[in-house]
Amino acid sequence: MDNLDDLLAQRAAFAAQPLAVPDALMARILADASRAQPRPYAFPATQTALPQLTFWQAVSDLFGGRGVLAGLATVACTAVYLGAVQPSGITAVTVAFAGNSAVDQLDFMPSIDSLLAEE
Amino acid sequence: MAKDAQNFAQDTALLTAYANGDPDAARDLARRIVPRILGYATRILADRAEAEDVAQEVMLRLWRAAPTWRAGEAQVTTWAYRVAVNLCTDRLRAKKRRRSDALDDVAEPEDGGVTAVDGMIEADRQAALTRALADLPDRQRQAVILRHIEGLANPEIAAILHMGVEAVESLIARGKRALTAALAAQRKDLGYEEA
Repeated sequence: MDNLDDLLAQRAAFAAQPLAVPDALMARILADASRAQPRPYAFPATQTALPQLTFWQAVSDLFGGRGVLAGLATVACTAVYLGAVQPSGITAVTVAFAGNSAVDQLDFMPSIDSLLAEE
Repeated sequence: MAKDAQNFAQDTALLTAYANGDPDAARDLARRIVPRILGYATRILADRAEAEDVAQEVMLRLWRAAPTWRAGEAQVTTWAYRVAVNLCTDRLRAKKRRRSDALDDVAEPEDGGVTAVDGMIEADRQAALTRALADLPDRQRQAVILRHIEGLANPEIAAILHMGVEAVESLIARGKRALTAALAAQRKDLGYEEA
């Protein structure tokens, strides 16, 4: 057993000497390290300025874009026209639904007085 | 023990610095760990090219583990040795399978220590030790090398091999008995005087 301990001690002494790591191996290891290293979040060096909006651009953006705004404008103009001119076809439809020829007498919120009256 | 604790703290600090993006931490940590792992793998595998592959793989796994490393749970070197032991075990098993498939492939293991030993007799003795170590069962060889050549303490070996300290002591004792028996058969050839 003494012989074995001597041999192991010699081997250990050799193992304790600094082992030269080949440059190629170290380069591969450091390349792996570079690829695997977490990158801290980097803010952009220059922040791009927001574009200045004109009044109408701001309004159209508010409604969801020029297309939507144009649609809304068209619908509004049509409604005003129909209300002002009251074409006979439209009036007929209104009478069919409301049962009254006078559109301005249409009661959208009927009174509930009749329901509250005492018997 | 104080030096070990200091090394432990330095390794952990370097790994944390690496995880935080320090570009120099990887180089410093690699310089501390790679020589030990490469030496161990060379002694276990007796194949320098394979040992270099193992060392690179160990370090790659360490880099990947860095972001989730929990300081205080494990020593970096112990963790690295544990990965190296597992990788070496896998490669030894694969090597044995290849040997059993091709019986003529019986390469003599290289001896990393022979060149440092003066004299033919000492060289022969170291070569005999290398052969005897190579013939040990994997776990015994790992335990003996970690204890008597790498110089690790039994509790650290127990952590590396995932077993109790008493089991490590038993493994080392059995390994040394087997080595003694193997060398005793060659006493005369190795220049030892008969008792």
